[in-house]
Amino acid sequence: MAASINQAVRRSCKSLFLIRSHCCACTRAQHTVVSSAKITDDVVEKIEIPKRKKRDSLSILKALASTVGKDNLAPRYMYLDDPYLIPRNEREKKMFAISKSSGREAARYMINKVPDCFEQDTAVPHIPAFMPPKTSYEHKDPSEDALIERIEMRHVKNAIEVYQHIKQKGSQLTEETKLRFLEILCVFNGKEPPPSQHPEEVFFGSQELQKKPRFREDIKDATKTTWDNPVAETLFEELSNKTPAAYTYLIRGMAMYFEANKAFHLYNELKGKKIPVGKEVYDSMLAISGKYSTSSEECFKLILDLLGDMKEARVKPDVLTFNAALKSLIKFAGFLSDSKLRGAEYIDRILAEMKFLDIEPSLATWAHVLYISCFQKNSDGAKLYRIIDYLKGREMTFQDPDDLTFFSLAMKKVFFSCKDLVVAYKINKLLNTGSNRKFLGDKNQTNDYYNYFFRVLCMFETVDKIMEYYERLVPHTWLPYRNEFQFLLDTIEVEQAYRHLPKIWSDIMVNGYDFINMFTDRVFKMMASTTHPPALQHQFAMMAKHVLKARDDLIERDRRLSIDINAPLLGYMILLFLRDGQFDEAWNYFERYRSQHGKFAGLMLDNVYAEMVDNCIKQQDVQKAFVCVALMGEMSANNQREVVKKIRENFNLTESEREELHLLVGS
Amino acid sequence: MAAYCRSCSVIMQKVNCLGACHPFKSQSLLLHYIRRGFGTSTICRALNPVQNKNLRAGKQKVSINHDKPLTYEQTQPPNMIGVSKSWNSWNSGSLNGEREKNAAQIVFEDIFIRKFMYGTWHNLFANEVIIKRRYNQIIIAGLIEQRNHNTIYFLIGYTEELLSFLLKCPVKIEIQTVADKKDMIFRYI
Repeated sequence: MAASINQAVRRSCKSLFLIRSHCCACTRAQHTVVSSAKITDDVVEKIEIPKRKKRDSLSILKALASTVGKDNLAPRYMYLDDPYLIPRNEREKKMFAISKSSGREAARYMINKVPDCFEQDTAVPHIPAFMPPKTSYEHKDPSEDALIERIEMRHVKNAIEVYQHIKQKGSQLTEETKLRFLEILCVFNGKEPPPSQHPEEVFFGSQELQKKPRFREDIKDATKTTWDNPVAETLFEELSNKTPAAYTYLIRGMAMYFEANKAFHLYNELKGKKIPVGKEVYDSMLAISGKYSTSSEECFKLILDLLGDMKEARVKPDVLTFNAALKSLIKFAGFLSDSKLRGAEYIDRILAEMKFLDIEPSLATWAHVLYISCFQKNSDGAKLYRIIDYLKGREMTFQDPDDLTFFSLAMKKVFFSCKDLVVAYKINKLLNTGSNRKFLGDKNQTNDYYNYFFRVLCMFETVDKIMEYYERLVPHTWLPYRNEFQFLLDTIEVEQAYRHLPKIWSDIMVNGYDFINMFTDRVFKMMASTTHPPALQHQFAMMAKHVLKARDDLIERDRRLSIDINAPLLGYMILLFLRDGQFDEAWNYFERYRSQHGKFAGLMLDNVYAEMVDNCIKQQDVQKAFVCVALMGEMSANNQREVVKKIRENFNLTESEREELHLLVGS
Repeated sequence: MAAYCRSCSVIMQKVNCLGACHPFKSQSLLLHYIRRGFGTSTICRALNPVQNKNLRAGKQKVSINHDKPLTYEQTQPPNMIGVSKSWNSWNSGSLNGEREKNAAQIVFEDIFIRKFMYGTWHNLFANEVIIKRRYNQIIIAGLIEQRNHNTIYFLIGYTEELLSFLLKCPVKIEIQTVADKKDMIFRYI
């Protein structure tokens, strides 16, 4: 039987092989037949059907996703696919997050107000997330069922109330219910759970939006981070059978809310009784060992003790364990600077232990190492070099919430400690390896990363290379802020690469009026500093025209906002018009300055008058030249004498005009 | 059993036929539909030219002064759906087997969504509301007039959340904007 099947398989393999060879291009048919005949003799015998590859439900999607990269010119998927509605600057992004989430809040308000209208359940299977929140309880009398109901609905305050009623009545609860109650008390610190955030808010960075005033008492309660949980502690004391789970809940709760003394007391008790507990307890103890100790030596000794306890209890540590240990050492990073070697020693010993246990460090591990080792003032960032070389070309997996801090921190260290372009490029390459980009974190961390990367670029790179990166990142991945624009303009000024100014100016304009006011002086001064090729000169003149028009529009529409234009700036703009050959436009603004120079602060540069008179000579317009000379006298410009000399040389002045000029100059 | 086709108001001969409510008049039209892709809505076409001429439903009346503005959508009569314009509701409700289960529910929900959109996004829509169903998702698309950004973001958040809770499935809004509703005028009749 088996033999016949084997034969059949072999036959089908042969025919398959032949079919494949027949499929080859016709021109090579002869050759193929010959070679296939050869192969069939000796190779077919050895054909092995490959083992089936294990694929999960995401394999195909992952394979497809790996074929496409990030499109830097597209906005984030979160934003709407419409040019008008895509938020362009920081303020608009914030407005997007706030407006959309407040729309959701408004809908939630309606749902909570009239839950009856949303009760129908058409979804199969049932989706609890789309059902209105329950407002009434099934069990209204204080009983064990009532307590369980409130625990399941995560109503901590009501659960506490019911528990106290049960205690007053003197009825008994089962151990299992008590444990569940203890768990929820420890997780939420005896307070109501914090309200969940909408996705837009999460991306925008939770801290920023929390700045908006919170009036509701329960939300204020939830943001408290100190351990204040007498109910949980008394409940724990009352437990007749203190199981490992009970210890785990209470210790982890205390550690989560930084109650180090009580947690260590409880841990010692647990150790004395030799109660077996899981890895999570050791992790949370390691995380607060920094809080419990007063010096780095003490802290490290504590860490060693805890790791020793783990070994004794035969609990296998993982990457989170060592991350917690390293994180607790960060507190002493400043003190470690006195004994630089010791800090390095601690790190080395922990990393060696990880290597010994064959645990691959996550990005969070390296972030903590960077925190500790590069904190010193005279740190040369040697660790950073080694870390980046180690990570080169690796695609990381997400293991620890602190993984998200690595990239922004590493780039910050490059800027502050070692100031090395090569490392910055290496980090950027690591970021663009595979799907490592997901470790960039929320908006603030992304901005941090690119801000420092860009500053390093501005320090060492040529303008063209900087602009290559700039055009790839701006505006959808990252928008430069004040300091970054300053750095960029510095670089352009040094290299005199004025051709990039129009692009940068348009990005400055996008950021709003305060940005425009901040940079107009600088940018237009740079433009007016020399003459440029005609095309560029024309672009500059158009920019000047645009700013002046925007200012006039603003004055007409709304007086609260304005673009400040002072006399030197107006002078630069007039120069730009003159150099582009727009004499009428230039004269228009010159005339405006002459009639209302009280409205423009400061004085125009002397060369504005000189160039104006030159252009008047070109136009053969004596009267306008005289107006210039008069204004020069009024504004006490220094080069009046030369200008007058030039007028006398280049115009054929009549007698009356000579007299007029004489009167103007007064000599 | 006789029933009215909801788009062309012609008495239908076969109610339970697959895809089309009327037998195809010509082979070429059938081929045309097959080539164009898989439309699952009923095909609206009269049986003969006289009936075709008398079709009124879904066609705009001509005004006296020929100054009634129409969008492109409105200029195309229902029999051009799938030819020169597309469907406003995209779903599998008219497929065999699906129809008995939830076609009525889908139509009812679509009417509700349209009423909700026109009421909540008051005076904003420049064209029809398009409703697409993909898996268990409902995607509401359309063209609106440009307003203050914050208003639109708020309305999107509000509509998505409220409709999700009402229809018990993820609802998404995909909006495009036009500067002025007048930009949408295709023809005056």
